[in-house]
Amino acid sequence: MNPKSRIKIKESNSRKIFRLFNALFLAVVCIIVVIPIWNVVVTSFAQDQDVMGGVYLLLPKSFTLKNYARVMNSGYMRGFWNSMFVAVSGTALAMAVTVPMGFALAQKKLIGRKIIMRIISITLVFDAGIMPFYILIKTLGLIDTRLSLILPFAVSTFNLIIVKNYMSSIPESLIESAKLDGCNDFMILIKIVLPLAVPILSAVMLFYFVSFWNRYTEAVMFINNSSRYTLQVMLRALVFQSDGSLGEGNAVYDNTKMAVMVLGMLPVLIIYPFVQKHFVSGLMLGGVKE
Amino acid sequence: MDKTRGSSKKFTSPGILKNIHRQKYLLLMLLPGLLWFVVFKYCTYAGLGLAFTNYGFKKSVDFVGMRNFIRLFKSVAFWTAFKNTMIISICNIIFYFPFPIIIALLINELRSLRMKRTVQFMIYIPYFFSWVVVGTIFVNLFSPSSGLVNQILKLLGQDSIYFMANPQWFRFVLIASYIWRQMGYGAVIYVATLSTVDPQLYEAASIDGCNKWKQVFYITLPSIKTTIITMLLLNLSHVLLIFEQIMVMYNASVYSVSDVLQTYTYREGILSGNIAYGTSISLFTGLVSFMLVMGTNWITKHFLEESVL
Amino acid sequence: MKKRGLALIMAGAVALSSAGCQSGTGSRETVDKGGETKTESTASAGEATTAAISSEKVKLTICSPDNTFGLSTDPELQQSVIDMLKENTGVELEAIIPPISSYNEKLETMMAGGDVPDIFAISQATTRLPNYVAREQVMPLDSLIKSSVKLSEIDQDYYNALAIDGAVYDIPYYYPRVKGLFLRKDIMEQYGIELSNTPTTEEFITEMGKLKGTGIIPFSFPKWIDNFQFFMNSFGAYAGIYKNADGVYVDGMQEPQMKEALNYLKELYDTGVMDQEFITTENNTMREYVYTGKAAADIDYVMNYSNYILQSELAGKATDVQPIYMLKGPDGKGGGLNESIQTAWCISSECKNPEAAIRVIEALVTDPEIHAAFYNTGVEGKHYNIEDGIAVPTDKAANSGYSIKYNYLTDSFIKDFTTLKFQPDEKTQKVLRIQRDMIEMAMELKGDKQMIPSGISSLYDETSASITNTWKEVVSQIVLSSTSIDEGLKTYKNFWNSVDGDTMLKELNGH
Repeated sequence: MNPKSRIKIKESNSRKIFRLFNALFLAVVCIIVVIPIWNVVVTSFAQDQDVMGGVYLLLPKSFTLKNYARVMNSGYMRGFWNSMFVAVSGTALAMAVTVPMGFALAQKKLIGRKIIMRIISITLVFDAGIMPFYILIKTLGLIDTRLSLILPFAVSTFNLIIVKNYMSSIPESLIESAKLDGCNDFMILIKIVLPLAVPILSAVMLFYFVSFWNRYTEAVMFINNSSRYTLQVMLRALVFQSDGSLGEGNAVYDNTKMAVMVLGMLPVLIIYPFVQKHFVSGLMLGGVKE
Repeated sequence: MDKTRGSSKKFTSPGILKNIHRQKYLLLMLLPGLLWFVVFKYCTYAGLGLAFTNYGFKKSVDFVGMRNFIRLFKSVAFWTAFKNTMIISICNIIFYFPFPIIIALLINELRSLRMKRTVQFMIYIPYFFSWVVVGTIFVNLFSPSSGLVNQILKLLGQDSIYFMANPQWFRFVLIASYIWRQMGYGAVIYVATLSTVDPQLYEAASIDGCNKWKQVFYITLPSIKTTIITMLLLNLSHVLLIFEQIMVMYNASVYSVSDVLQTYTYREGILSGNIAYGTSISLFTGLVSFMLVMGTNWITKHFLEESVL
Repeated sequence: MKKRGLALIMAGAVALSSAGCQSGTGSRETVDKGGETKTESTASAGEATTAAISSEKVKLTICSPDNTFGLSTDPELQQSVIDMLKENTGVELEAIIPPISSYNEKLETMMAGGDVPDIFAISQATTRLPNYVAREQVMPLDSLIKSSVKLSEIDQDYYNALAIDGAVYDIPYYYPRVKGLFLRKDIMEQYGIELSNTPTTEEFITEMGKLKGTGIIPFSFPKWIDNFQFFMNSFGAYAGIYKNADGVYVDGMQEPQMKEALNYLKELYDTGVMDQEFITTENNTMREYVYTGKAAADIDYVMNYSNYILQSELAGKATDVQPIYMLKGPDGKGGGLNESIQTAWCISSECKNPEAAIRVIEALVTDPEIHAAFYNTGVEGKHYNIEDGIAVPTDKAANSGYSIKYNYLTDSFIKDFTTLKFQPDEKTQKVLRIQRDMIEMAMELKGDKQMIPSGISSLYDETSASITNTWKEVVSQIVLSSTSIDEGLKTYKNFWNSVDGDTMLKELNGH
């Protein structure tokens, strides 16, 4: 036996122990993360009398779809579809703006690239606050339109940088040879870069979707007509409808609230598995300025 | 500054038109996004000028110079909010920031692809919830009478703790819920980055007799250094804007440890209708944020030879 | 780079401020035109506009939270109420219906952006109205009220409650709201709790203490610290700045009787009478505890009595509840929690047609049919159908959080609702009669509530929000035992000095 292989055996033993502990540790982390969500799901299926007066349910005491039926028949579905509209069209627009821009910025020869990157990176640190934002939206005539929840969020600097960095990593030789074949930049983006960028695009798409889906403050500020309220606005009203100045006093129990919460994360939960298989490869965050 | 001057020189050169023509498609692709930045970012910056007026409180708008800032700097509540923002932000950075990296490194060690994906999925779920929901979840979770955490404490023979009402514990709740919601999001990015590290590097290292620990420090971390620094700077850039989370979780008994710049702005600026004053806080926050990010960028440039901004 | 950025900011400032100036000068003109007296100026402005209106209809915006417009959040149903209002008043209306939980921030954002709704409901009127008046966002209404017979019939006291410098800027639509305690009678009987409608502070603690160890929360309380005032009343203490018996503004937190009040509140909590988790309890949750019998008592508007009867029945835990209007302190002091007029109607100072606006408000406040529809029942055929003289909610309405409550019958200024097509059933009528008596009783036993005008002390205007926040924090920390009474009051005193509180009091007292 040579010494080297002995080391290998010893190593693989300690590796095995490490891997076991690692798997156990991650399992514990997962359980800790999931327990509060589990509570939400269990509660959302419980009967009224099992949740009255605040109990923390981990084991289902009862199972009923009544809460979901209640939610499905209520105005929350309107909020759901409003949110869906904003999130889907918002994500589509965001991708349509972000991807070409990211591609253009990834081209080192682009005129004025450094200045543009400066302009963009400044926006990372400065936030003017809600009032100047409101005045702008008003000036643009977007108040009380669904567009006011879509247009102003069409680009996330963070996502733009992810896209740009990924596209910079695509070998230049590929692009050059396509050019020699007579492709213009548009065709290169569509025919060569996009297929290569599927993983990154699906990740960015998910990020955009979640951000559109969960937006709240602006939805309250910009929308006047309740037929255009998003689910988040209604959800918050449901949880905090306790201004106290009028005291309506209709009891809404936790199970119904939790059913709305589950409804609120369902779309993302459904999309995620389709997107996830791409995550494992190639998401990269390089520098901002390059 | 020098670089900017260099590129502006290029602008004036006669070849520029030809260049523009050659890059017309690229520029066309750039245009919508650039326009967006100008309209939705830079136009709102123009509104920051309100900080020097008395906009909002009186019908007429007058230029009042630095009056809002003088009031700001004299206000005790503002400095409390500033202190809290810094403490909470720094705690978030210190305690939250390493979490996704560690989790990602551990996930990377899992052999089975299915396990990798399952773990990633599970820790990513909380990110799907908005803060309103997360707030409700944590109030329930930490309830002294029925909440799970206190039930466990009681099993261990400890007194139950009213986490949400206790000034000593409330920041812990804020950071814990922040980690809970955001960890998966960060981990996904790191796991993806880790998958780009060349496996040959590890093989070479193990042949050289490097153990796993050394590999982490000499290969893995350096390879994802840029990502880590970028994430750090991006985190720093919005960490001062913490708002919704506090808004849905705080209550009267913990104001003094949780009132942050954004909640202060909301109360004094929006709810009291003093927009100019609120804007002056926004401007101040922006400046601090700018210094924070630029300072960190400078540090990483000098000590890690890596700058991303 | 730097210079360019600065130039950009300045350019924006100029653009925005000049835009603001235009609207500013516009409003100043209207004030100048009217001359010396405010009432005259609005009247003339009103006349001038009505002439223009008759030829060309002006659309007015009306803003009120989503627990109005028929109590259903369904847009179609809300629209039916708006349509009803339009038909009745002949005024073209566009409604803005923010969720009640974000109502104030929405209203403030619109105001700051220059989109003040023509007609809008205000909440927390005692603190917000002075602010709106100081900002010239609302119109003085005296002459408009005088021109309306029905509005003039409302007791002048209710207008005066929120009058500022003798001018009225709001139109209330219900009696001042008073909060008392509600006790479940079934639990009282079961555990032998004996309390009158006005027990002493000591009796309250000892009797409620009988529930210790039963698993029932003796007294459920919400996270809103303002409610502590109910108990402070028993000691003659008042949290915040107020005018004392000598007519001098003082700071309630630093008066000696506050210490006694805090002692009592602390005792309530330490003896386990008050819900140990009150600081994370929403109003809804608190009520839910009493409805379901998880808690024996809570604090609520007296006009919510009928809800307790109705909701506890729905929860399968039917019971009667007993009101406690006040707790008598050691010196016999005490009083219900007086929230005064908290919500009322205002008209924007920029409103182009105040005559039409007042017509809409008049209908909302004095017309039985419209009042009922707007604040509760909605529209026949849309929200409910009448079966045998009793209103039954439609499926659509029932699914959008709507139920018929008849509370409007007991607390609006309208004396006669007999013209309505439907009446509550026997049982409900009985409950409402009791509720009516309770409200009258509570009005007699209500504590003090004060409003401090804006614009007298700029120091006060700037720091009042911080003062409120600080006393709430200190008081809640004392009750929760995060700090001792002495320590807490010291913290408060330090804060007070740091904001130059003494100078502020001097300014308020006119020195």
